[in-house]
Amino acid sequence: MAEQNSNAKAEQFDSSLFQPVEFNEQAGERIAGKSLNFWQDAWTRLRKNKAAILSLVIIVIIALLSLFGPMLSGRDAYTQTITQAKLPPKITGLEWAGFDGMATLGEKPIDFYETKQVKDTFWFGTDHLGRDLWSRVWEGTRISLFIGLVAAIIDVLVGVTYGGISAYYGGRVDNIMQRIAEILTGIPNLILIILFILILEPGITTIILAMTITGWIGMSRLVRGQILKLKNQEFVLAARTLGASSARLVFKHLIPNTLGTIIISLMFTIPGAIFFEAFLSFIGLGLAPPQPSLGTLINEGYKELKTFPYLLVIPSTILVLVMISFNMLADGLRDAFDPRLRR
Amino acid sequence: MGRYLAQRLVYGVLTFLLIASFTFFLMDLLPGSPFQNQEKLSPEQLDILRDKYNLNDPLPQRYAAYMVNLVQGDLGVSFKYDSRPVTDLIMERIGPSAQLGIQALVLGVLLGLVLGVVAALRHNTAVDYGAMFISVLGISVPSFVFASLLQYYIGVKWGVLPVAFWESPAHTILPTVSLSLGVTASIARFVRTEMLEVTGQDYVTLAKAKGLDGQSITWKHMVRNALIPAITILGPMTAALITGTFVIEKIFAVPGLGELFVSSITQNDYTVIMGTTLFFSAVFIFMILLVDILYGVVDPRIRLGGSK
Repeated sequence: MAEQNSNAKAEQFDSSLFQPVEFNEQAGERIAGKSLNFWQDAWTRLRKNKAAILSLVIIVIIALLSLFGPMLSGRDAYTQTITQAKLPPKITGLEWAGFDGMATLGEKPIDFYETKQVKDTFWFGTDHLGRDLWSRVWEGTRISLFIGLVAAIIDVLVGVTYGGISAYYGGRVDNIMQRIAEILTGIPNLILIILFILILEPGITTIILAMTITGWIGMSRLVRGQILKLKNQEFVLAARTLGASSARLVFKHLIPNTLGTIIISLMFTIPGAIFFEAFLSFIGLGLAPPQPSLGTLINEGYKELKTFPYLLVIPSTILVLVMISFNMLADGLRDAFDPRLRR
Repeated sequence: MGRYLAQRLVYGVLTFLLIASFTFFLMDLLPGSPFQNQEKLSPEQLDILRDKYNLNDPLPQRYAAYMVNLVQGDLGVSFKYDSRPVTDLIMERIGPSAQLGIQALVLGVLLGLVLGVVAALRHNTAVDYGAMFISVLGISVPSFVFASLLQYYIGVKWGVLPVAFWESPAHTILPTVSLSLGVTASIARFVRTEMLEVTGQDYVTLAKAKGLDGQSITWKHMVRNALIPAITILGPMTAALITGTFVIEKIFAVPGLGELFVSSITQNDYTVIMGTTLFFSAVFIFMILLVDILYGVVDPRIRLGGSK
């Protein structure tokens, strides 16, 4: 019925109304879109992810502040001025937002700048030894970021090498290497980290070393999985046929194809490492005293929480901001590099 | 299955013995001394003290003695706490830690489940984004920051709940909530991903075609299947919970194992550090083993050890 109807309608149109499309073989073969390489493609997708871009911007701002922040206030992060100890944050023009230099001692709020007769204003206040918290926070952020970045890079280097060799050679090599990794994963890494820190001198290098001892295993697993998948594909066979050496195959063909996975994992490792550093500092196993890190600052702030909450709140806020940004950016990158995983 | 199980058990025991040996030799390298006021003691007195704890014996002999005792379930005596056996100390502290861990796990799993399921059902809506933002927040906010803030605002400022100590059920609320934050966040993310994964499965389409109502499709068909892979995060979760208890117990003055571990580190109490380390390792190894076994039991499609 419906078919007859449409047939009747079609007959109303004169065939002269139509123009035949000329078939052009070359036009059919023309590539319409611009050809994008892996990075351009990922960037196009990442750009659409507002949360990830916002996170990237926040990370850049925090990183810049951690480098140049102390210069902005013009104060040193280590100079102690006891007469200016424990001054709450004060920013001229931002008094309404809580940066008014007031703290509650006992029942009523007191302007500490008045009682201590300090003319200067400290943007983030000062700590119990009168050190400028603004400078200390950014100095600490720089150290935390440095620890996170270096630990993550070492994890990647070791993990990629280990996973790459294990998967590429396969067979008995793979078997032995995987059994070793399996035993290592059975060890709760935090306890291993703590034991290492107890033995070595506390400091940045110790923390980084301790974190990387077991940190690379997850990375090596990921890389192994990827390479196992890739190594039997035709392009590898082609390269091999052309006489490429093992090293060339691994470093020129296999690893570049796992770069997406590696970068995503790297981005998730950085906040993890920053968290561990903060955690260790919080239980008193972090950096030695005068050196600030976000963790030691939070630990110091926690002791003064009742009267001077800003000492905890400010470094905590920065830490949380860094962690959220890295996690969101990593999420965004995962979607960008591997759209199949997109949710 | 039997063979696989035996193999896994052997691996577990091997790992444990390896950790035990490793920690033993690490303890020997530890700087400092377990005796307080060491400077005030004369060399003779110190010698007597060291003799008492067999610290003067050569390392291999002490190692052998420790391992033999360990196999018999004896972890030695504490250098502090009036030379009490370490096993007694652990037994005493295990209660609060276990309670705290289990409460946090239950609360976290339930909350995370609800959050994850709701987010998946309202995929790409404000509800979904909201739930995922909470989840990212939960993963990003370190538990000790969250715990400090909870303690300050709810305990100190508003005085709603006890600030610290482990006395009544009310005392357990703040530590439990602090510890469960991470669990909630990771379960929510995981469940959401898995729920989205099963949405497109044939059996869900079939259930819809049969005319089942949305509720029973969601809970009976989707959630159940989505939960199977969630078992795999039990291992890392245990590790995270143990990590969490170190700081949470310190903040809320909970007399648990984490607190014992952290304080034994600051006091150089070798035997207690070793004892708690081994205990945590045993729990962790057991959880990993359990996950492997459970995984095969819950989902018969997974055959362990490659046997048919």
